[in-house]
Amino acid sequence: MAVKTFTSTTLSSSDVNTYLANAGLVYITQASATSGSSLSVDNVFSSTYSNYRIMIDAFQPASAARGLVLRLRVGGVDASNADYYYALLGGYVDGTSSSTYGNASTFADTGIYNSTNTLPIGNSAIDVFGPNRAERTYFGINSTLYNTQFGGRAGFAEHNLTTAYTGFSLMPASGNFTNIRVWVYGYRNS
Amino acid sequence: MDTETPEPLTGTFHDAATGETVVRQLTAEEIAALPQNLEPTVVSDPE
Repeated sequence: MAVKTFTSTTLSSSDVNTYLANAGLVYITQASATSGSSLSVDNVFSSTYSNYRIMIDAFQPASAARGLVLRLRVGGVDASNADYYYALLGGYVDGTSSSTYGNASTFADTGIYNSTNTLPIGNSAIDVFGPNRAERTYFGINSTLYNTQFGGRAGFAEHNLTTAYTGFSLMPASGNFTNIRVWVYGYRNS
Repeated sequence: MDTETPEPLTGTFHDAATGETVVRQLTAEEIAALPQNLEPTVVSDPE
């Protein structure tokens, strides 16, 4: 859509609707969990958008010292074989490393980690590239974590199968959630 | 001897097409696929 310069103080409904329909990021859904071992979001990836943004916050595990991991999903089933690869480089506020790596892992690390179970801490912005295409899926990840001190991680994940996925699951690396929230947006294709 | 029955494992399932969210017990297959203490490999944690 071409850039338009408004010259009046009152916008027409046509102008407003055109700009709404041409927004860059389009809200798809929001989900949360306050218990249980997993939060699965189905029917969120489709041919409508090629790429997506997943926003995660308020990760609070039921047991202390847990990371948060992600799996793709289709037909109500998680892809849980060792087809995930990730490398997240990071550091803590004291200057030490918080980097994490996975080579043929059964999950993709979101980078979020919470060493407590008393507070919801940790967030992540994950760009997902082509999850609904019959191609490999790539993730760009930028996260905040807490491990007795704050830290950050940024990097990538990749899923090696050429399956068209329609959803994803989030889960503590073991145990249950006390809290988790997630939003999903689609990047408009054109 | 008292034996404590473990609480059934549950999951939250959100359908973006309908907006519905369901909390239900996990199936045996879903339980088998859960991460089992699979903490990501963390390099140089300060602890």
